[in-house]
Amino acid sequence: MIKNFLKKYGWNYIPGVALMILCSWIQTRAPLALGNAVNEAVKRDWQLFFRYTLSILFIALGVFVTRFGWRWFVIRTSREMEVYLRDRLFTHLLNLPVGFYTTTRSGDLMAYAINDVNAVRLLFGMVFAQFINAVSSLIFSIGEMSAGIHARLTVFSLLPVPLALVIVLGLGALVRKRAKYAQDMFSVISGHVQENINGMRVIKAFAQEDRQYNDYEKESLEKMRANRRWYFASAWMDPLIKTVFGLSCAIGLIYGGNLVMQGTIGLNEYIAFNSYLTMISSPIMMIGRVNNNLQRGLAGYRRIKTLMDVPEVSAFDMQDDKKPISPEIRAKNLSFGYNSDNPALANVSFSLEKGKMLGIVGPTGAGKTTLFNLILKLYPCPRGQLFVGGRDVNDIPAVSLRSKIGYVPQDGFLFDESIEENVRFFSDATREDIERYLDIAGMKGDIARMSEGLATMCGERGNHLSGGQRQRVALARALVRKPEILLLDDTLSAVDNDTEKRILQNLKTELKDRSCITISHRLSAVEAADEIIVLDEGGIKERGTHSQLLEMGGIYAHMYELQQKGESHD
Amino acid sequence: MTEPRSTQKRSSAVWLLSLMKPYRLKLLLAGALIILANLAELIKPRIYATIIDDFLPSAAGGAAAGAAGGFLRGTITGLGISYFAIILISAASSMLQSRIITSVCQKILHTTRMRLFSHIHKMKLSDLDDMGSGRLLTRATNDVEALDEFYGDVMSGLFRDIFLLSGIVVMMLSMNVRLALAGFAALPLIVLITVLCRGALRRNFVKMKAIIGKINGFIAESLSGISVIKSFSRTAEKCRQLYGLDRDYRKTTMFQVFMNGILRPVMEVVNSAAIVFVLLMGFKLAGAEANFAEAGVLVAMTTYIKQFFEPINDLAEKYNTVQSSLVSAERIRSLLEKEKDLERDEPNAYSGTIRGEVEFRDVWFGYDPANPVLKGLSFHVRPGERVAFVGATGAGKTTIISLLSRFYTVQKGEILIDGVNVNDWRLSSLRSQIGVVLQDVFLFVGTIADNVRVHAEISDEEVERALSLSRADSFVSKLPEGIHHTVSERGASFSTGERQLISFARAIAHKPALLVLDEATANIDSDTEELIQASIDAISRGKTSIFIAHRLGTIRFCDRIYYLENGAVAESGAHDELMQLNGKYAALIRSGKDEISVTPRPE
Repeated sequence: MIKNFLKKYGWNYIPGVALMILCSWIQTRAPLALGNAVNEAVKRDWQLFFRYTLSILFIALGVFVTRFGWRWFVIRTSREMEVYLRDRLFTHLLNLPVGFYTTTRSGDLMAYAINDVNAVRLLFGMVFAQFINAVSSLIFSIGEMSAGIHARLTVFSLLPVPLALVIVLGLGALVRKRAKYAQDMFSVISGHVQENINGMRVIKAFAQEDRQYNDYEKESLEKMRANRRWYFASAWMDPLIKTVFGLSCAIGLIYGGNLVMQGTIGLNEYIAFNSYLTMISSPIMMIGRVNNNLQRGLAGYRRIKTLMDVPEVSAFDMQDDKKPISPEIRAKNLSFGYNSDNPALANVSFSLEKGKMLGIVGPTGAGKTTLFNLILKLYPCPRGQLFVGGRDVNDIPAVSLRSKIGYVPQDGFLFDESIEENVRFFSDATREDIERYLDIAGMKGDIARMSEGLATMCGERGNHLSGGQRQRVALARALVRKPEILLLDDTLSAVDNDTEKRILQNLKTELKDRSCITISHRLSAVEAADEIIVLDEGGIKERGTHSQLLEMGGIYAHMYELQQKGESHD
Repeated sequence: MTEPRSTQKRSSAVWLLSLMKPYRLKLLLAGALIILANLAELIKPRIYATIIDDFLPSAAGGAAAGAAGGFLRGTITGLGISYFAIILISAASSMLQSRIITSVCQKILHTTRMRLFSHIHKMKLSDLDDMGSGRLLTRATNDVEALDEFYGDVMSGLFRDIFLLSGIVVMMLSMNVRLALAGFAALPLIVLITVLCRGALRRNFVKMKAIIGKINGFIAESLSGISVIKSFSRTAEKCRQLYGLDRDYRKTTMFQVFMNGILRPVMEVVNSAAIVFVLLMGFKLAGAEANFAEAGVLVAMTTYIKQFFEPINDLAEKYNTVQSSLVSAERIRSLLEKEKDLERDEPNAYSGTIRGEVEFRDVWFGYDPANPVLKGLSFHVRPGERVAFVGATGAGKTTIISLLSRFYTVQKGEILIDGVNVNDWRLSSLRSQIGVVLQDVFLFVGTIADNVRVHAEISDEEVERALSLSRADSFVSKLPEGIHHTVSERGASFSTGERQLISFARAIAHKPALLVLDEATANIDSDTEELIQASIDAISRGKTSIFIAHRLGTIRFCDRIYYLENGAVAESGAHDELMQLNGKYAALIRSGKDEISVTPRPE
């Protein structure tokens, strides 16, 4: 996945790295220039002094240009990487089979899309840059110190530095561990607070405030301790490193001072040497952070990679073959299970003609929605068992098939856009179409009462609308595409009786040249169906028209009786 | 909230400082330690200067090297050792300082968390609803964490930065006034750049955050709506929408990369310019002042100038943190300030055992007082009676439950329980005796038994009995761990009906004197439906019970039915009487086949 990106943007890293190294090299010129300038100021050689002073300015300008340059090449590219990765990841996620989503929580996927993409961005930007910078400026500084000034002085003063490295890496790991625990504790207390807010009525009704308070206090105290331990550990970092480098500097001061007095090195070199020592400390301190982010970046990259390796739906399913599909559905001993040992559907057979309606009833978990999932090709269907328009669904590209189907999901899922946009849902429907089908779906009155009408935003998952309104907008969304086949999954469950009757009446005229399958808990929604199937535990238990089933006196009749109790009592 | 923003911020800052009051002494000590730690930063260049100026020039010049060698060598060692000693002291005090600040800060956070938690418990439900669970959660968690930064980084950092800045100024001036002034010449430029660039960067950052928030929201939405997107074959369109958002995002990041690429390096150029000024002035002074010519002073000056930039940068960066912590502080403060709106559990208020007499007398109530839901509702339930409320959506049925438990207070009229106004009851006594079963069943993290107990002392046997009375044993007994089965993700593994049965058991186990039940409207399959009906009948027998009924099965065993319309009782009587009356109730029953009212109440 990264290969394509590197092909397009990878060249940026060549000038980037070159500029970075150049930048480090220029920076290591600075201490010498300063040392020389000071030296000449004392010696009162104006020309030399002026030259060195000017070179300080030029060095600064050089650093400015090269640093801006590498940032532009590398950091910008890392931002491109972020966008590229997110776009690719999202496209991939949307092209994964729906089955994938039943086994992976969307919260985890969000974490990939946010945290891991960011971690990889850092890896390809700042982490990379800091690493190159640290290494090159270490090499240049130490080289300058040992080759240019005094090798033994360099070795002696740098003796304590490895200790700093150990501290940075070792203590860094400890800090990381403790930080993680503190963050976990944050999730714990957040979870507790959230549960309390959501369950406030129960807590108040059962007068549980004190108990909850005591529990929370324990967690809050633990969070306090966790934070403290984390901060305490990281509080060691800076002072320890400073002490180590302080030792280096002290050695440099003493030993270097003596060398100056012996005349082995000049004052300018002495001054420069001490500047180099300070310069070295920052890449060493940075190594801790680089290491930290490197780990995160690599882990993030691996997670994204694994995700990207999950096979997408086949190319066959992604294109539209434009062939017409007549609205007939036939199931022949259809059997299917989400996992092998538990069939959701077993030997289901039916045949639905154009212009007819099939009603499906049965308890929760009977396999009703599964049937829809198979017709929509959301899950792979066994060969030779399900036919649409006379063709095995496996031979029809998913995109072609779905373009002929109007599906209304149970929960009436809507997107956080206007009602109009939700109904249009990227189709070429005109505003008139949209209004017409909203009317058919019984939403006209509701929309007229909204101050913003069609432009009303639906909110997250459509939660600004009531359940019944959501379902009706979702119905209009399906109808506006003038589908050949209509799949209604308990679509009117949250709509009141009168409205339901009206909508069903409207649908009857709409369905003339189409076929329709209706799942419902409420029998009133399927009474008019040409055939009704009673599903239970994946199998067909009864079938027939409404009156036939009532006569049969089986499950359906029993359900009808239960739902009718009011009237019979009359 | 009529205060202007600036005043708000100031008072939030004052509030944050006031929380530190109990820890005055510790903080004073920490302050002293900060000064001690940073004195080292100030002294270090001076030691360095002393070494260079007092000992080395002669050596460098080669003049007196041999003569004074032995003595000088000793002193340089001495200075080097004291240099290291100073660093040690500084390291130790900065360590100690940060431990003290951390301890104090974490204690303040803990106290604030606890205050917020108990505040939320005491909030009236109406205020809770108004605020929304998401916002409230943010107050209690993220906003508190944001204070951490205020106390931890900002307070100690701010103090250090200011001390360092002024310390450096003093040091430079005391070494040489004219050199110092030459160094300060670049100062206005720094301030200008900082203000200009940082302002632009901040504005851009706000934009960037807004877009990334939108992007993340969009991705989350798309993932949860994946089956809709796929069913409609709208994958490509959704991707295109994201690409569009990402294009906008990219633009803001490019600006950020550009500005950041300029800002830091430019500061360094300015820094070098300041050093050059100092050097030039130094050269001039070295010629003019007889006693000058000291390299060490120049080196020290340039070191100070380099040090000078750090706190300035730091301050600029902290400005953002301070702003966001102040916003958090302001939110917390304004929540905690609403103390007068809290519920109070008066220990001296009336408390007794409820006999089960309930009376509403001309009750007027509206969640929004201008828009009353109940308009003069009156009814009377005698101990042991079972009554049902029916009526169209929005008639005010569910509101009755909330008023009985005093989750809200009535605007006019009285609610009497056992002849005592609910406002005069002790809140804890009142609520613990009313068994409320809500439509939307809430299950806690924990086992089924925990959920039935809700922390009260109820034995396993009693829990089992309650579960069997409520008919919940029909599915609980099938679970391998039985009543010790852990409820996952708020009971997501149970069906709506099963959750309902658990909540019945919860009500039974607490042996309420008064049972109040809001029947679920949700779809439940017929078998569970029958279980629930039987359960309701069993648990309410012989107990004063108030039902918000949606199903005929429940209505039929009630002693009396109230038909609500427009927030008042329109018809009342037994089912048969009302059917005979052939009024609105009868019409309602005839219109619906299976359910009396199917539209769920608005959230």
